[in-house]
Amino acid sequence: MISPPASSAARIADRGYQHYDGVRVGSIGIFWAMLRAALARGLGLRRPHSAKIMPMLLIHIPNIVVFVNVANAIAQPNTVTLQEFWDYAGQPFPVIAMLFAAVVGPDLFCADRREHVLSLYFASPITRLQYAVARAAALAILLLTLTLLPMLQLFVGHALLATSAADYVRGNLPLLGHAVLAGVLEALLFASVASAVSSLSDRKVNAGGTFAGIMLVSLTVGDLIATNVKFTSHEKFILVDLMGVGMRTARWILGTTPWEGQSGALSQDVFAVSGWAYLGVSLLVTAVAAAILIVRYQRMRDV
Amino acid sequence: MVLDSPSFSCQNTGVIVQQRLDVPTHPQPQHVVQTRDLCKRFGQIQALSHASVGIGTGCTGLLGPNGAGKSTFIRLLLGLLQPDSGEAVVAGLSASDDPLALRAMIGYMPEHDCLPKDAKAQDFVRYMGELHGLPRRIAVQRANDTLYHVGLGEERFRPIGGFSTGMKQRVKLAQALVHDPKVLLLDEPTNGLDPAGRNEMLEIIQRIAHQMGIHVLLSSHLLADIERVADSVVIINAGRVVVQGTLSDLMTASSIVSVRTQASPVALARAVQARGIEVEIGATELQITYDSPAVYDAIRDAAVETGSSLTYLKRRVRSLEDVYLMGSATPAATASTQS
Amino acid sequence: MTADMRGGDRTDQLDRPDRTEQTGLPEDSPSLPPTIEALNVSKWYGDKVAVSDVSFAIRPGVTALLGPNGAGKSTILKLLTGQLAPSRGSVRVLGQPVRHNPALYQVIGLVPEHDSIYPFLTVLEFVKLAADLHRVRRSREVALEALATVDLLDVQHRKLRACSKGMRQRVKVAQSLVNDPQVLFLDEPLAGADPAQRLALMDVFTRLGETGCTVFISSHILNEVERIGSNVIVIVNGKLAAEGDFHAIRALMDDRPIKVSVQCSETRALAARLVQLCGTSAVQIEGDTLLVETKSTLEFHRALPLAAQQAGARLTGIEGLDEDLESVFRYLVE
Repeated sequence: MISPPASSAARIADRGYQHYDGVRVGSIGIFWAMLRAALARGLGLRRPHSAKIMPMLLIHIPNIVVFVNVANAIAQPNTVTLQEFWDYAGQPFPVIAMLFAAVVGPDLFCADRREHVLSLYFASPITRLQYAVARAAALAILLLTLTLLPMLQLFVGHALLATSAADYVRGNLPLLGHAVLAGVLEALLFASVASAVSSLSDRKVNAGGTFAGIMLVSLTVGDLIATNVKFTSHEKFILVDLMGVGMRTARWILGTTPWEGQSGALSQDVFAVSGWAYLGVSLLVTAVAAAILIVRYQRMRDV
Repeated sequence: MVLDSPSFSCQNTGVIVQQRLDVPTHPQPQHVVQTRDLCKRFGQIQALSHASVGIGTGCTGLLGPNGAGKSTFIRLLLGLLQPDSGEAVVAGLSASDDPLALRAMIGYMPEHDCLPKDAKAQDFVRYMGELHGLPRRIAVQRANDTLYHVGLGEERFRPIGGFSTGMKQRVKLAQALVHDPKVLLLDEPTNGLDPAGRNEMLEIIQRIAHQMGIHVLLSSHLLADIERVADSVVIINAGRVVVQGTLSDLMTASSIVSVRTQASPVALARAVQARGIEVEIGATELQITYDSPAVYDAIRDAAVETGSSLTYLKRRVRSLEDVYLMGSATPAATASTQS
Repeated sequence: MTADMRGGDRTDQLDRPDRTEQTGLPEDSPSLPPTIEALNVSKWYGDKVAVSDVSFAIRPGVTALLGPNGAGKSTILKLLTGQLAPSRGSVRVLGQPVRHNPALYQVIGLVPEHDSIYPFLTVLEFVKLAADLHRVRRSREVALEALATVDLLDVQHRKLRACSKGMRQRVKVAQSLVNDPQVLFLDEPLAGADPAQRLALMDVFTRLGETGCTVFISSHILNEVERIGSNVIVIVNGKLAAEGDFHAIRALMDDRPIKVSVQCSETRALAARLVQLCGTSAVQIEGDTLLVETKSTLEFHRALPLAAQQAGARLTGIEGLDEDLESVFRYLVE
């Protein structure tokens, strides 16, 4: 064999399996990874296009509404105030948010159970609580883009159109606060209830339908009884309306009033109900639903 | 492992347990998984009873009848169940005290389907890496490498829903390996694979256990798989560990040499007997009593003398099947009613 | 070493005249009429050809259907049981066409691979139901007998949803036996069974084969198939690759020398002598073992003792390495 020239330098690199002795992130980092993955899943990212349709559609509808309103405000200034707009045209926003929760909530919870991916999660260094909270929190964050973001966009739009933006903001701070508070309460309530319902049913369609059903029935029954069916304390039934309880809490805390142009008792939106009751119902329902979600996941066997 | 019950033998060798283990075993330094007196009951059923097991380097096979407690054992090791008593320690971490840190050290390949349809293989394995504590960039890199090591090429960028069984099993294996676990728990890894796929999977497992320095626990119903890749076995029956030891110790050589020849074996048998060795003529082969290596020479010379061919010659060892059936026949095992 | 050693097209081998002759009936077959006959069967779905011009004849006893995943085995099984109609060709079971033939279903048993049970029934109820559907008299006794065969008598009153996968598989085998079938189709019947259950079931199938039933098993676990019977049908890429006793199939592969492992002392001395035999094509030395490739098996085995004696080598092990079913299958698929 010919011996290689003395000056040659060659090596064969080791492409075999490498061990990893580097940094490993702790619980918080892992929770953050789960949250990111849940957010991506909720938006239908990294999945076939069919998974993106519903979430994207639902998210963009309020944007269109905002655009139309701001364009209108530019074209015909002072026709409708922001407050009026919210009370009238802003009604659909919670409904859209609720639909989003009905579509995305079950997708975040039921799919993992049906495909048995949950067994891999539970064999990872996470607790069941972390899993449930990460998924529900992702849903809440995504819902904020529907319950809160459009309101903020509208507010900023109108502020910029006003003669003095700073004055507008200072003068309408309660409105801004109302937007934030109502938006957050709604997002938390919807996320919590949707997650709880999704934890109880393995089929996405059943869970979504049940959640939407609960919310719409509560809206219909609550409003109907509170406004039309007259018996003692019938007005208290407005508390059954889960879709509106967040908005009504915000109104009570910030003193914002409904638009006089609306007709009927709803325009007054003045029911013989203490403001604390609204706040209480909002927080109670959110907490109970969260508890159901957590208990269900802690007790789950045979994943 | 020293046991003072009369039917066993010495330290550190394979033993066949015929009675209850009363004496707890001492943790051996090379045992990365050590359980001591693990007990778990579900309602009326005692799923696991005083299971004391030591799992060391290389590949350990986990065997047992359906319903005997194997999956309970695995779940206890993963910290998914809490034992009623006893403890399980993996890589120095206790399953009861540090279940989270312990799970970060273990890779688990479940038997059942557990892969999301929509996700791409690379994305999914990367995410599993992140779930086990890998920083994102490292997880991407390791997912890439691990999928390569298990034999998935370009397919890793396609959704898992379109994969064949063999590819799905590889993805399952990759997600268990991506975070560089100390212990790999494989549950029926060759399920659904055709002969070629099974062969490749077993080769990968061999490499993992013997070249990558990862301790492998292989749970399987296929004795041939275990014989091929495992160095030791643990057999669980009716909630108890009935057999534990290395294959080389358990599959003891017997005192019989099997010999086959092409034509009638009678002449060969006589020639061997003439040399003072006992021969039994069986249906397909001769069974020659072995008492010293000289027997081999006698067989060879007898074959030359009679002009016989030798098509097969082997000293019989106890097969894993024999070991398993003996383990299943313990008094505690009324296996059919369990499963 | 990766597994991309699967070669290219091997149809050139299969098209050689002497090969295609051999895929007919072996000369020494008993003169029993075939119970299952497939004649030029093809099945395609649009552009995809699942099965292409497959012909074979199966007689009573145990026959195994083997092939890589995706080769068309499950399609063939469905064609043989009448669940699918062939695009071309014919399938006959017990001399009759199998499609839409309820009378034939009375004498056929089928154990499908995937769950097809009613979870709310008990073990006994399910098997008895199968017996009733076949209009078997004294269905309860027959059901109990079938359960005894598969060792499930102790759990006869357990609901199927509470049964493990291995138990469900045995229940399916039991229900296939209630009508005392003449032909039994089994698709991975041992899935989920533990080692003892596997041995018991294999025993059941062997005995059934011996009593004249035609047992047709599709399985991937070749070392188990080997124990039940030697007769195989191998499908590769939708086509028939081989048919018959796998030992005979191996003997036909004359382009592949037999590999024998010889454990001995004095390896090099013995190797030198073995190389001198005409049939030997290669000798590899690995530690105390010689791996010999030879084209003439018998001559080798006959010459081995003398060669060892002359070399002063002690023979401690002699074993053929590639004559088992796994090796034969691997060669057929490559």
